[in-house]
Amino acid sequence: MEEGKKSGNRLGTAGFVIACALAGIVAVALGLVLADALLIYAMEGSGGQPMLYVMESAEPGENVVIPLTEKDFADHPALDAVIRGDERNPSAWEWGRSDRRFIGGINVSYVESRVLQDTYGPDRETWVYPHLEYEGAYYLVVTTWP
Amino acid sequence: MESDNKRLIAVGLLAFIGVVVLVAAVVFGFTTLITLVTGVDGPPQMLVVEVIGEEALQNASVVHLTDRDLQQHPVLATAIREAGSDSGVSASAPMTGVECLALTESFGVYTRDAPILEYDGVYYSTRVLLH
Repeated sequence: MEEGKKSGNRLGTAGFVIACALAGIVAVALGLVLADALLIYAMEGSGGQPMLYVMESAEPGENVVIPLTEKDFADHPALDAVIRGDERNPSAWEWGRSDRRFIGGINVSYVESRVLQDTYGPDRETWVYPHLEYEGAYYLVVTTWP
Repeated sequence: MESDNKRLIAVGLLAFIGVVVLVAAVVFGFTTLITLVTGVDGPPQMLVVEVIGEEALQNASVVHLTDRDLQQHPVLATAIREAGSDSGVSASAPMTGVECLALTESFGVYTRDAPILEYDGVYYSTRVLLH
């Protein structure tokens, strides 16, 4: 009888510890989400103006190539406007690196800047930018966060 | 017993909210500090433009800027607006690494033989200061 009670207590303690650990993990995750939301809110109110810039690369080299689809353009109208819309304003190849040129830029919100960076930005481990392929041309997407 | 449980739940809930707010505050504060010190896009740089006379052009390459160029490069627009049109006057504007890259690929501002930029009949030389 005594033994069964002890074992039940131990089980209860273990359950309590696991519940605390889970609550802690949820708390940290919620904290990070809240901090991110606070940061975006504060940045949007700062008056800064993030920009989306698109460069064209002559060759993809060793970089990962991601083909752009109509869904990409539908999901990111800013990207559509710069690559094939009114904001396309390509520079000459001669400035900067000769195998890269400027294609265009457009104002975006902080939220859009973050989403574009997360979707088309550099790999989190290698920091190498993927090349986005559209109609035989290779593009790099960079965003500012002023 | 029941009131003890209620008190425990209330304390647990408060502790939970406290941890969430604490983590949010720490992450927010830390990120803000890093942003203030380095800037999100790396250490800040400065674009300097100087109004030059036509006689100083010599054989330099000239890039003619359009309104759309200035719209797509707000840093350049700010510097040019501040410099005005009087010869010898210079102005500067802070920029991020990404903006510097975009300006370099567009107009070669951060290259050895940076071209002269022309807008509205006024010629500007450019240079980049690193901090």
